[in-house]
Amino acid sequence: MKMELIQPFINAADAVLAQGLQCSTSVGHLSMEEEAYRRHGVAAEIYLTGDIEGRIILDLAPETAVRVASHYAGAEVPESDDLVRETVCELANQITGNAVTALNDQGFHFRVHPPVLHTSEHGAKKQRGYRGARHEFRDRTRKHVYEYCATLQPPTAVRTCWPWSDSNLPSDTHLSSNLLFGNPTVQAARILDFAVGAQLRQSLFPHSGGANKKFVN
Amino acid sequence: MVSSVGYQENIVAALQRGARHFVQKPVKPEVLYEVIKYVLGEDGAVAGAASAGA
Repeated sequence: MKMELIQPFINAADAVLAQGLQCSTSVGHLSMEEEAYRRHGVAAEIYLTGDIEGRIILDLAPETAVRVASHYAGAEVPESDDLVRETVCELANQITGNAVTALNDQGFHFRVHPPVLHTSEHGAKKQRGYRGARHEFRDRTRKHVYEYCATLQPPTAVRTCWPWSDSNLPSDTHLSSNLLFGNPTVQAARILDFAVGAQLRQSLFPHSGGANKKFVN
Repeated sequence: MVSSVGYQENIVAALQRGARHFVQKPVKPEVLYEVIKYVLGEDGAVAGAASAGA
């Protein structure tokens, strides 16, 4: 396992989660995984092609995924809401995109494919050549641990679980449920809310507020 | 254009296909705000020149 290939994923996960969730994190224990990956919660996977081919999996415990989605939405989101799964997909996309950016700028050649939900309950059977690395992260209190698992022989897996504390959630705003449903105006507003937050979106595009009202929880 | 993949080749391809600017996700609000102001400023300058010429 080449650490130069693993480290950008760890850095990207750390940076994207810390910025998006406004919470400092620390990186914990890294270990090798020889067994096939098994999903633990709400998981998104992204296929990589290029110099090395495989997949990246971001896997959040169900209650963690709900809290993270609620954080981005600015309102409580029920576990059944598609926004929970869309949020995990978007986080996986951002983490993988940032890691691949760093790798490609170092001279590697990877191509990122769109995220899809990882729905299988059990991992595929152990495959020849499967090598993995698992990484733990802890927050400052060391109470909340999430794990991060990556392989760079096929299949590639990155697993992150982030148990979440209420104190980390901002007491913010009044937006909405589903991110990717509704008419294009509402959809655009939601994507902007997801990217920059409702407050800035409303200040940039004051007339977009009306389109969103019907989605306020 | 906003994308999570921001290596140089990707940015060049986006700009060649008509993107006015490129911001990598995760987006920092202050960066996006400056980029939007910049792009709208470009549009304003072009519209101003067109109306002056008409």
